[in-house]
Amino acid sequence: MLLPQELIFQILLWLPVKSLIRFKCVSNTWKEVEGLHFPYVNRNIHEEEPKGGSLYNGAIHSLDFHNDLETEVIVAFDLMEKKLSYMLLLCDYEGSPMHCGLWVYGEFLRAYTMNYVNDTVDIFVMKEYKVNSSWTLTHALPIDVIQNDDFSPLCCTKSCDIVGTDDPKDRKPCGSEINWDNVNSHASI
Amino acid sequence: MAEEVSSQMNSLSISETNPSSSATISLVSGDDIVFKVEPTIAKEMETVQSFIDETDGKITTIPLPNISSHDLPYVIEYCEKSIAGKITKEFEAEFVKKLNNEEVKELFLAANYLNIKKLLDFLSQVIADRIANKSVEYVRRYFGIENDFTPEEEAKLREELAWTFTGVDPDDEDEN
Repeated sequence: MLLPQELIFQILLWLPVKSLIRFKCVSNTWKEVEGLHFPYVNRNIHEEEPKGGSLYNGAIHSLDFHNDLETEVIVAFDLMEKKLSYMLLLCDYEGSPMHCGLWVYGEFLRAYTMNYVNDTVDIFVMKEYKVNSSWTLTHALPIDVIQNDDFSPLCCTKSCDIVGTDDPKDRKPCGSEINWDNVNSHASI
Repeated sequence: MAEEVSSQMNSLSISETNPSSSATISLVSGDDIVFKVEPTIAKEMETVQSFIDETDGKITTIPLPNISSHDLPYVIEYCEKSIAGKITKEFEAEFVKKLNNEEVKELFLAANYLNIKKLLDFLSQVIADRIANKSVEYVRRYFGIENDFTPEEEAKLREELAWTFTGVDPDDEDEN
């Protein structure tokens, strides 16, 4: 039983974005289904480990891929105005940010990313909200104590040590906990 | 199959005896089986209703050459539930459980032909759910679409979109 093309396209509208994009590989016609243009796509949608957004300044922030700029950006959804906007993720950062994430801490929006050139986890702070040029590197923590590429900071102790985990599925500071004080890299905030 | 149809027809003829009902509408499937339905059911099918309206209600026997006697009872069942306001998640789940992939596609075409918006949307969602986690090859087979990429083009596109290829179900060759 063959369905006419225009009916098939009606069906495609009901697909999750990730499937829809995968099916661009079906044929040339499907590749051109661009009535379905999404400015942003979240490339980290793994059903097993969905990442929640970070609430900050009345907006939910997530890291998404900007299809036109072809780079990861921070997309903010303003809960009051119900509008999307985006900010650049780190300015003048060498190379494309890998294994990065957002972290709201100490009343600032922060980002962390693996720096494979220097073998560090770099933590940045956006000193002025929505001002792309205000990204400032605050910490470059040694990477060698992390078992995989999934480090994310969890919290800060009273003595200003950053505690993080290398197992994002299990966001508990236990077992995989990394206390930077113990690895002789005192990281104060 | 013949039994299913006749039991469906029995249940319909019971509702026919309802004293409040006006003249029933006869829907004739492509394989010449007559299904008598309430006018309220016909209203759910825009194509049928506009046919009735055009003839000022004088014609109550409507040929539906594109719809088989296998599919029509499902369409009627859905419409009955719909006007009774009984389309629940449970009903929908039971409804599609009975249908294989070919049947869902046939019903989808029937819903499109009869212009039943709710059923069409519902079946679109059902088909989308069934293919969402499937491979590109599966979807080509499912819709009978020819791969018109060169191997190089396809490889390049797959590489660009590699991130969308996680969590894809292995193909089940028994289906369809």
